[in-house]
Amino acid sequence: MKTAPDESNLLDQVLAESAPDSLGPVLRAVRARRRRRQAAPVVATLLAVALSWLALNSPGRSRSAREISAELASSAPTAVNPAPPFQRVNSRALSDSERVGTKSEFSLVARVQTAPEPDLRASDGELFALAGGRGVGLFRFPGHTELLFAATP
Amino acid sequence: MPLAADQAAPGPTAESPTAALTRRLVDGDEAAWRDFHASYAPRLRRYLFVVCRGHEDTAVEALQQTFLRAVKHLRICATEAELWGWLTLLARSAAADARRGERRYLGFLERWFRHQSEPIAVPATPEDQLESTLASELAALPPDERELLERKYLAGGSVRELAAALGTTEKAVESRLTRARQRLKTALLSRLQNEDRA
Repeated sequence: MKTAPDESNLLDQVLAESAPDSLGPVLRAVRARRRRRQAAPVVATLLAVALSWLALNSPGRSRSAREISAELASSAPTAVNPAPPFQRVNSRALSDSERVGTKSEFSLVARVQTAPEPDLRASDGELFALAGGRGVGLFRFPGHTELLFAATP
Repeated sequence: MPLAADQAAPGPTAESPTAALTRRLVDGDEAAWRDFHASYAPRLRRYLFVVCRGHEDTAVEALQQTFLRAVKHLRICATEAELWGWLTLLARSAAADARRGERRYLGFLERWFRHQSEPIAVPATPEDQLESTLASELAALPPDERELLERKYLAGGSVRELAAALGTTEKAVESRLTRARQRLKTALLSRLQNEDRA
């Protein structure tokens, strides 16, 4: 007597006759999927870290004033021995014996009245020669007046 | 054998056998996948042989793709009917893709008439159709092969008993059974293909 399970059994046997194994690829796919699922959190974490790093360090990113000031405040000087911004000077008050008093010590050597005369002129060198090699000062005034000062020998 | 005890699931909070199985499948439990394959591969194979109109290569390819897609997209199903409905959906989709792949050389015409793509027609009860076809083809086999298959599969005789009854070796009985099954398969597929043309 025929029964449905018997017929199904025959049918299954007939249809599966020389059929390739379909379980092997299924199990391989299951294992691959399980490996992907186990690796997914790690990959996601690494991706998130990489994206965060890129977002924070991308050259085109506009930075806020706070970030820039924080970076400047935390940055170290690049020079190993930087030049000091000032120079220290030690000073002391001089004693009376070290103090030197000075005053002007000039005397009038000659007062020369000149009048315009053709072919008669005294050059500056000739006037300086009058001082005899001492330190001199020559002052010209309007009205053809010149004053020659020489340092006291 | 597909799970059929979902209706007897105790209490609303208890998980049905199908839900428990699909949960293990989703978790990637290999033993569950072996059970699932053993339960559903024969049934899906029968279904796909009808859907593919007896084209064995297409049916085999579609069966493989159905399982691979199930691995990829399986979700937890509360009832066996839900699971089987989802599997047949996958199977029809895989069969359509397999048929499309086989007819790739007609790709130009297919693209031309894409807006009139042919839907896959599935008989209301493909397994009933297949079993009735099997019965008629079994009846059309040579008497000795038909008797051998009936004694083995319908009367439940073992190979040893058949060998003793026929006065031959078990190996010889196995060979005759293989030939008879192959002949029956050829007739069955031919019938399905002829019905498709008709």
